[in-house]
Amino acid sequence: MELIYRGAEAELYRAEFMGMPVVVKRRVSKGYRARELDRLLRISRTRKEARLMRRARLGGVPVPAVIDVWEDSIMMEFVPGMRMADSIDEDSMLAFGIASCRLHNSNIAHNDLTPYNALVTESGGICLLDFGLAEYTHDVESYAVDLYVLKRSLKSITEDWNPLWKSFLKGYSICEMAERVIRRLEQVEARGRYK
Amino acid sequence: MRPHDLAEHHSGIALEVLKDALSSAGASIKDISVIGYSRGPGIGQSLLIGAFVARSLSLKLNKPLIGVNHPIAHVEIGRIVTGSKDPVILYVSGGNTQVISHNGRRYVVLGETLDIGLGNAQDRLGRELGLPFPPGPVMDSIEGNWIELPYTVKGMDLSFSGLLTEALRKLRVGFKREDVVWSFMEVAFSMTVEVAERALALTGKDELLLVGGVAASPRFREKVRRMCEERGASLKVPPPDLARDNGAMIAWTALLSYLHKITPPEDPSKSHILPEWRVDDLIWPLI
Repeated sequence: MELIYRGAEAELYRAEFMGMPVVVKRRVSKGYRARELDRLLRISRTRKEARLMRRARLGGVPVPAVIDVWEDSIMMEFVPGMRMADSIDEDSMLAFGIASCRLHNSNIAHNDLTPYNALVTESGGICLLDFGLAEYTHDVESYAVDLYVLKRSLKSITEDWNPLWKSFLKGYSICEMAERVIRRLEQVEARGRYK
Repeated sequence: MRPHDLAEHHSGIALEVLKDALSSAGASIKDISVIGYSRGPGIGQSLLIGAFVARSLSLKLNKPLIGVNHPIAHVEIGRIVTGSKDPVILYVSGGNTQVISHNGRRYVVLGETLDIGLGNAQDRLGRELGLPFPPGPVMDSIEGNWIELPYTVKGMDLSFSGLLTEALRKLRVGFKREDVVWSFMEVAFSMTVEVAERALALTGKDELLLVGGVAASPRFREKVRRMCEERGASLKVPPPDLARDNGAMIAWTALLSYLHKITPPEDPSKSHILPEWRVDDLIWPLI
């Protein structure tokens, strides 16, 4: 197994499984938190992540296929492509909007929906990654917070974020509840402290 | 405290504070060249008293008046006393829990609490336990066993209200007080350290600056230190009197702003406070 990425909470490895290229995501232990909490977070987040990736895929959201899950590790399909944050444009944001809308239609909030957690694939499509903090929920608030987090990350990536955001909303608006989520987003933005 | 009482308290001690500051600095009022004050964010009534005193001094001494953004002042005093250059900033106090970083043009909030600040959550639990205010230092040293409590991190944002509600419920149904407190602190601190770590990973920066009143907690500092050590990042913490709310940070930031012409001096007869002023509302160079 070859280490390809070290994130804040997990390590990604390239490997082969039955001749197929795969990625293994392993959550690493953190010395700063109590052993019980550390184990609980690593195992529960791994299980939940795998479950929600499968659910998203069934809902037509482009995500890597889950092959196997054990303890703190998930083995998934390897999807070649570029990190969306590094090749962001209005086309990819449109596709990102459509994928996000299908995700919310599947009653999943991603909870870290940013261009850092998406790939632009070789065929020009996109693929959503890192369901580590995702949740199964019917609460419009959670979907609105997804949009809030995304909007803010766009602002931190570029001063010229507005066309990207508009393109995202265009894609996102294909889902029935888009209007409700966007209205809720206005509330979330208005409510935060000192805003 | 009610806002009205705050205003009364502030106006009552304003003159005394000014005299003390001058005498401990060994300076006279004539030595002052710039008047800085906290313009926001914050509770309107307290900001107003500070602004009122600053405006009067500015008019009386005929010196430039500079309004300062409170969180930026925490960051700037922290940077100058620790020698930190371009850090990720973890700002944790009673009302604030924010992860801040400079994006080349201004300071931006990468993540923050979606409801109450860590300190406020801690104070609420402390009050329920009948601890004297502030309960932080006592709660910090309480040892207990792990019980499961809700852990809520959404990307780089946090929420403490679910954790607080469940901790209060566990107390009511008879869980051991020390276990509830210890686990509450464990979860609250770990959540905060986790978002700081995510911000370091996201920005690729290798310095973390810890500011705000909660920076004084040894248990919290130890967790932050462990995280930085495991990541190979360096941790910078100002001394406690310059980490919590203080006047020096406002003065220093006003001076920076004045010398580098970041914000123009205000006309004392037209200046106004900004109770909802965000760090990302103003362009601010990294000096």
